[in-house]
Amino acid sequence: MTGQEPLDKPDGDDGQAPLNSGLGMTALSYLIAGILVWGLIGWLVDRWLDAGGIATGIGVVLGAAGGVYLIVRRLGA
Amino acid sequence: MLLAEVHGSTAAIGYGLAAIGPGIGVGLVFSAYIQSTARQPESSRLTLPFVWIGFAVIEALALFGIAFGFIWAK
Amino acid sequence: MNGQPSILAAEFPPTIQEFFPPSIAPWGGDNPWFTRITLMVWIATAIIIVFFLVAYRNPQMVPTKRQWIAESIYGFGRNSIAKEMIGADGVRFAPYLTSLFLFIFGVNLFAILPGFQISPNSHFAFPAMLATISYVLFNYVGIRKHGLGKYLKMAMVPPAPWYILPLLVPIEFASTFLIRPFSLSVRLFANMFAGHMLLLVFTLGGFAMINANGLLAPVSVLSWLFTIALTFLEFMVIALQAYVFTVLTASYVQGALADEH
Repeated sequence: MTGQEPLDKPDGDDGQAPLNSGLGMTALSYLIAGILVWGLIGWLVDRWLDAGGIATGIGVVLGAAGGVYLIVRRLGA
Repeated sequence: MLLAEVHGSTAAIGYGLAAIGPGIGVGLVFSAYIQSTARQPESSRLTLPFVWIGFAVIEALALFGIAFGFIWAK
Repeated sequence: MNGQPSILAAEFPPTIQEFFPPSIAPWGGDNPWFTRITLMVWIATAIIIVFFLVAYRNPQMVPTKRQWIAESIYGFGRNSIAKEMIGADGVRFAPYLTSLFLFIFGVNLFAILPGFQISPNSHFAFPAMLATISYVLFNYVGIRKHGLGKYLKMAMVPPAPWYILPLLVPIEFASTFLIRPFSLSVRLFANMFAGHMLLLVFTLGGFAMINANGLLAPVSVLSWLFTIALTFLEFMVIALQAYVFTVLTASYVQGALADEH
């Protein structure tokens, strides 16, 4: 292993996203973060307006949509 | 007249049923990617972004399942 | 078999108390910090430090066997993890990443060593501290390279039309600054915790079944065979979790160092 040449990738060949196993974690974390953050905001709006659960649902759907949009933007073609 | 009765949380049953579709879907996406890379390895870089797009949309439905399981639970 | 005294080493089902081993302080008394978990962390750190110091005592151009092993381990951390993830610039992170990998792997290895059989990473404090160090590292590196404002803008503002940005900025913020350290620490902790719990369940279950009814002895043997199989799986999980932690830290550093296009 010490006789190997160190890998010298030309910089800048992967333009937008690091091509490694971090991509899967990034995709999953955008989705989960989106659902959690906007679900939390929706839940707080629920408690403020006393709406009985609908704002949380809207928040979750918005968060999932935002997460999907981010993944398509950052990791997509 | 009561014929049968199920106790417990139907949200759990709902989530279990809701996880079938996305499970098969994600499996299809990655199987397609692996097969296409096996047939033509140079195409792996071109098709990888679509893997993440497909995975995101499908997994969103799966995560809806678990989130609404908590929201709609009694 | 029914009249035999109980041969259980601990109660079944295993509770959370299994994760808090008794104090081994030589001066007696009951303190929660000097247990065999502390001893394991000290032993692992001492072995790593002493091995690398001794292997590099008289470095030569044609390496001796000890020096070759040490160079191979460092070469793996430097080439496969630091250079591959971060690029040519990553060599200055290679010592930290290699130490991180070796520490997590060495400390986790005690989970399958007879006599110790618990990994200190199944106490949440150890993975939490390691994740905090990685978190501070990638943020500090990014801020030092790009400046605070530009780094925050790069991390939190995705390329999107301006009217969708209020939807996306909280998601990006949570994903980068909240979920990353949380997921790093919880991944390592949950894997070690679950692995230890699985081994406990199958081992103690075998004993509990024999104690309950002597005719269940074949099932107990099956349970113990499964424990052996799970131990091999646990070894794979240990190596994989150490690798994944290090690779993800390197990936986050790379993301912080990446130039905006």
